[in-house]
Amino acid sequence: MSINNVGFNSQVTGFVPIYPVQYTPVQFVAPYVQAQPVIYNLPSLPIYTPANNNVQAQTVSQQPVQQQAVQQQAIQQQATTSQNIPLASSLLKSYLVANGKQLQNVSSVSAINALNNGEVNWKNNLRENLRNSKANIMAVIPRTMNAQDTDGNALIQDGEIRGNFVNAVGRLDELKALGINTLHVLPIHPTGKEKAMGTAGSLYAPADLLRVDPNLKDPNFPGSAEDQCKYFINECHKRGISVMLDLPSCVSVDFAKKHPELMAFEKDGSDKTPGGWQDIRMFRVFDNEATRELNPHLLELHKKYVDFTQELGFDGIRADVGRAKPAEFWDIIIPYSRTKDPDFGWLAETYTYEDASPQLNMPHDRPIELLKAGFDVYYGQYHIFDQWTKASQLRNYVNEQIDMQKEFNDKQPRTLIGSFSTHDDQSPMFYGGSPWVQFTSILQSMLPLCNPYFVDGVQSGDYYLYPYEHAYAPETQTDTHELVVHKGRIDIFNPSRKPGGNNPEIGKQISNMLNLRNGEYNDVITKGSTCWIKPKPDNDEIICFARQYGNKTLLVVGNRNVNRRNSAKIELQDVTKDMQLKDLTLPYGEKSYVQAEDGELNIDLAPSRIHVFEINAPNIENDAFDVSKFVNGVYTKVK
Amino acid sequence: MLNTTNNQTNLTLTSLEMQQKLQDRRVFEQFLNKTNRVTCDKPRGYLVKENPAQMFGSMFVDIAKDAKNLGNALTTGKSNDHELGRMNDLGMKLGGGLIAAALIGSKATSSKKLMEIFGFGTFFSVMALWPKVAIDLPTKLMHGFNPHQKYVDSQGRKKQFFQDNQYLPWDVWSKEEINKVADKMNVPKDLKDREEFTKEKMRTIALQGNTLWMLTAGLATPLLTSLACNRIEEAIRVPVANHNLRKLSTEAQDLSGAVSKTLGNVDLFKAQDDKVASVIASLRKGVMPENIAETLGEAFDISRYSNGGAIRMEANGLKDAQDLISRLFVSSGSYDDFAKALAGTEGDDAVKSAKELLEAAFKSAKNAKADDSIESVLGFAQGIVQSNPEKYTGGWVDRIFDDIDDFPEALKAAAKTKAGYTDETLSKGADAIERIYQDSVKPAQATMKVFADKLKILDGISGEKYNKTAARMVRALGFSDKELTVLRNTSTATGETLSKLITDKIAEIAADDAKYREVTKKLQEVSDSIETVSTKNGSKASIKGVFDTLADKVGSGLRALGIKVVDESSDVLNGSSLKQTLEQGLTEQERLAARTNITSVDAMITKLRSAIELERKIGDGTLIKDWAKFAEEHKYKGNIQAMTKEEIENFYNMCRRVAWQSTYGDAVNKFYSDGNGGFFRTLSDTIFNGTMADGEIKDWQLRMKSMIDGEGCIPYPSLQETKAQDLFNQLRKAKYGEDPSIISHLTKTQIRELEREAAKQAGVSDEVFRSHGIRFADYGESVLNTFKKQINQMHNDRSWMKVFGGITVALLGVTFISQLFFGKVKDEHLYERKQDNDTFESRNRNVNK
Repeated sequence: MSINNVGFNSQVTGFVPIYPVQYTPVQFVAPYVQAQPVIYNLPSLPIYTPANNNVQAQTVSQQPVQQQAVQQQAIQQQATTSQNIPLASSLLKSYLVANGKQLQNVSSVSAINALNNGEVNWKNNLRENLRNSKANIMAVIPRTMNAQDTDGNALIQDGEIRGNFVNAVGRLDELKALGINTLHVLPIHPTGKEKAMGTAGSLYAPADLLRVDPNLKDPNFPGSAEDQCKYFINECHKRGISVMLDLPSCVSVDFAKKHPELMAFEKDGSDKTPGGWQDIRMFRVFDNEATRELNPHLLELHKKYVDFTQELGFDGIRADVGRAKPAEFWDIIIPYSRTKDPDFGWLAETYTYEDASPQLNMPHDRPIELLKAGFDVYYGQYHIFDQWTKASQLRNYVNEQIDMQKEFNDKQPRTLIGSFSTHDDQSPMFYGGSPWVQFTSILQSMLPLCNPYFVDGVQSGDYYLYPYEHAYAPETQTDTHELVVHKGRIDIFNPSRKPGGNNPEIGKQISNMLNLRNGEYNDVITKGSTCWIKPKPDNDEIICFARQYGNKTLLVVGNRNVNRRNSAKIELQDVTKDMQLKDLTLPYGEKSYVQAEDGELNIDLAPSRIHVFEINAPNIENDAFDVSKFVNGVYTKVK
Repeated sequence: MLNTTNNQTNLTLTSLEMQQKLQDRRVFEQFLNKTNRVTCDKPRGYLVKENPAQMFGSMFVDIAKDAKNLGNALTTGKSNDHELGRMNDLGMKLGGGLIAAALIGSKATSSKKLMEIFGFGTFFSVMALWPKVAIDLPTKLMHGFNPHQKYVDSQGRKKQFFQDNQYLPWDVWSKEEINKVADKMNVPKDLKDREEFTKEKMRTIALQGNTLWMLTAGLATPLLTSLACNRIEEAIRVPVANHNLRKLSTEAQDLSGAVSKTLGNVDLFKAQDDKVASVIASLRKGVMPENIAETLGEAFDISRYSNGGAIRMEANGLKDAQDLISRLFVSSGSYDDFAKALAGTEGDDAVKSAKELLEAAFKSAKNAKADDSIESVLGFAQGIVQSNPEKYTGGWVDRIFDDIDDFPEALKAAAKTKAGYTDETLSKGADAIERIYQDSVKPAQATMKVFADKLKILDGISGEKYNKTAARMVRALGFSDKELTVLRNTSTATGETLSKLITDKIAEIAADDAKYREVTKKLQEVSDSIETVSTKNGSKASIKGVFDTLADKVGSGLRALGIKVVDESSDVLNGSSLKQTLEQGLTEQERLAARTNITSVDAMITKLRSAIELERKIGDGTLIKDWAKFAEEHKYKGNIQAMTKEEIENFYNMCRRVAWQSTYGDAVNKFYSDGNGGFFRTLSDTIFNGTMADGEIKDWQLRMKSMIDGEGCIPYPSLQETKAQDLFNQLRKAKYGEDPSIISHLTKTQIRELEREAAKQAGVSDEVFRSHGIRFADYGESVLNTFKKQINQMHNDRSWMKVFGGITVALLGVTFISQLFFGKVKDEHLYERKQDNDTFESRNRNVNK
């Protein structure tokens, strides 16, 4: 998908988003804006080296110039300035690199000291957190999490330091400060080499599911990769952060060749491959699909995987493409995991009910079946929120989740993650920049049955643009030298820079909201009722709902239009003219205006602006036209 | 453990390892055995299973949904792929409907209009039915499933299951259903992946079926639509015409509603309303508008009613206005107006004299080269009157001299206005014009419009019935398909040969009494069925009857409006004169329809009957005997006995030409232009004055005679010499007195009673009093031409049916047969049979086979 389709211009209206002052379009002249043809023919690819920056990858052509300019300004800054390590003078760096030494920053050094600090007293509460919307999740990739791209070309090479478990610890305090209490660690296994994508191999093309990628081991420190992984998890636990490991749904070609008994084949004997992914092979799930008899070898492998994961200290598993295996399969594996750790959390990458899968060789998606089989939380459909132009679409979806709660007899909620952006999606920065990312961050922090979820880098506005896109890399761990990049998505194929952009205000906003969730408003957000209020005149671009628990009420009012202001009146019987409104969000973007009158709030909302007001409105359920709350332990629609 | 690689079977595990595996297996069993705790949920979608009636109902529901989605898409700009895909279908239907609607507007007759709807409906029906009949049904029979099976997806949207071959929600099929299909397909029961194999086979067959559908639908749809429509049109033509005739028969009884509706049509009268309004406004201001006569003439469409002076309007109590209007209508020069102004009410003679005087005075003034002012002219007029006082008498003359001092001023005004009315008179005139226009002229026009409209419908009915009848008539003669083909092929060569073949056929019929009776009966049946249909209340409705009713109602309608419809010679308010008069009020096209079509659809049969009678007379020698008698009486041909065989044959052929091979007009032209009018008259008498005893035959003769003698459809004058007419007049005198104008006061019913009685006494059918067609005499075509056209038409229909029907059957056959070869699955051999030693270990997928 091109940037143009899902980026700035994806609104039906076609308007260019209006940004605050810092986004004012500027005349932009950058070397990689020039339209250069994409060359896939490897021998003719430009060789990507630090000294050859001008050959930096592809253009973002076909976008309006203004958008390109805004975008590219941010991208340029991101690509050239953000990855520098401050303490390394060029002389020192040259010396150390020449002598095979690696640079360590201060955080890493402190982490090293803690490597042998031993176990912490950790009680896994991931499952409870997930089910009760108390997990604030960030997806991280150890391979890049704290990579040190000293030359600023976004590719880790020539002695630059890749991300590993040891230096990743250096970022934990930062994540903790953001309010993150759960990590979704993308796959950490050695990657396959044959028919691979990218020079480091796709994270989702494991060559061995029961090993940790040796590249994630810091050679300067003792212990195996597995040991360092345990160290990393330990450090997370020390900070109160749970850790989930990503279980790939498929395996690399190398793996498939070694284990034919696990693999699925076409009738003609060729490997079964999921549509669109040529570097991975599918498991054979059934011994006999007609009788639903599972493949015991595969069960065995996954049992071992659970053992392996728990041995490393992970608190849960995120199952990639959950539908790749049937409910019966998970119904064995998940309970197995809980025989050792009853609080072991499971996150399913599953989206919505499908009649049939549009993806070749892939079964259809059935979230409820997977949740019944033991998953605690799932992805859901918030990743298409940018296509929901109406507030009612959001409300209907939330209600769909609420209705679904009736399916489960254990009176335990099943929740969603705030999948407003995932590593499979293009950076939300393309849709509406920093204001939009802040909008979705605030929104997902306030929705019921939702665990906020972020991909590393979003907190500072990363566009996930890599100047080396499709360039030729002389160094490779795989059988390809092509630096495969899915434009606008976080790099899972190559040794790339640490994620991050140039909008630290997003992180502040996230931190603000997550700490509200973790703090005094935790009950309101995780246990409170949800009251949808219709603005007058009815304006379906204005999202308006309240969360209420006890005597606390939070009113959420937002304008989902990224281009245009929206005004309306919100009738609330408890509002008085002299009522003081406390906006819990940090200011961003253009200003909104709110005026309290007796019995109503008049609001004029700036584009992509969402506010959370704490108000004294005990009777807000009466003002709402749609109310849901916990009834006998089940979140239920009551009005 | 067995592993098959590159066709080599190797033991990859040692026995110890295999023991280990078996041990593992036992470990797994505790997990494997609890797989029933969570099972797959039932699908939210389901297969649609409907009977034909439900399917028909669903079609409308689906169309309504599509329309709703289209509305949403238009108002919100949003739609999904499924809705967009279906909008294509809706678009086709809407577009087709609009085209049909547009075409309906351009068609003249009900059945043709109806056919546009049928055509549209048939096209879409065939489009829907073709895959069902030609593909779905055979596939269902052969393979046990419907390749166009529908299902409702989890979103409640109805879709075709196999529409997207890469996206098949197999959940909605139960295992039992799949197994049934597998049994029908004879999929071996011991196939390991029987279900999977069956699904793949179904997928393949559906894909092939869809492809076949796409390949054949483009040809089959238009072909079948044409074939179906051809039959439908044949089937609906006469019933529709009969239905319309019944309907019109009822409508004709009371036209007031239709007239009111027409009067309410503002657009229809807008132009003339404006004209009249402008005249009235001008008159009220005291100004006589320029070209008032022309303007009002146009507005009143007066030419319709005053054609040849046949109709005058005499509105009661509107004498002044009528006078004014009539003056306005006839005013063409200033002296007329002067004369009329001077003469006032003194009558036509005074007007004439005044006009002469004024013209003479004007001439004198011109000769004297004096000025031609009114004073000057009147000065000369005074001189003329004084020079010849005996000639110029009357009040109007006195008026010139008595008022000589002030009259010139009035005449000055008259000279300017051409009529010389005062403001008051003009104002009264305006009132009168308005009253006449609103109360009489406009309703009369509406009445005539209704009349014309109804006649148009009647004409359409007549045409429809005739179209069907012509073929029946040809069939009635007993031509076989083979003979028709010969005739058709011959007809493309020379008319002479065709003429001979038909003549032979007619002669053959005439010579055989049994055949003759049979054909005569059939033709009579055809004739009867053309015009008359039974109505709901048991009475009969006929084209002519409806026409008469319409004429009566229009006539009485006009009389009620104060418009007296008069003939030049006498007041005739009923019967054919009324019809004639009304016809004068029709446009040429309307008149043609009324005269040539409506009243004469059976003339063709009449001619055919005549042809047979002629051959009978030729066959039994009556004709030549009659001719001898007439020739002798008229001293025409000397000794007829001396005619050679060849001459007699020529004579017969001549008779045939006159009787049926050419039109009456052709014959008249030929003989009269040759100066042989007398001969023609005698000839026609010979042909049609029969010695045959059969009353029915005489009736036919009479019809033909009236047609020829009367040059068409004016029955009374043409029948004056007939016994029936004489009897009619005698009866009329006996019952209603000597005054011939009494007939104008008789009702239609009274006249019909007289006609029936006269006909009865004369021993003929009362049809003699009816107007009979000239369609095939003056205006129409010869029997020969009709035959040519019909035979061609019938032959083409048959050939067309043969060719296209053949293609359709062939297409159907190919479509059926193709399906016998459907369902070959790629790599079918790779689906394994179950083995007796099928064990857990052996179930490991063997690769690289």
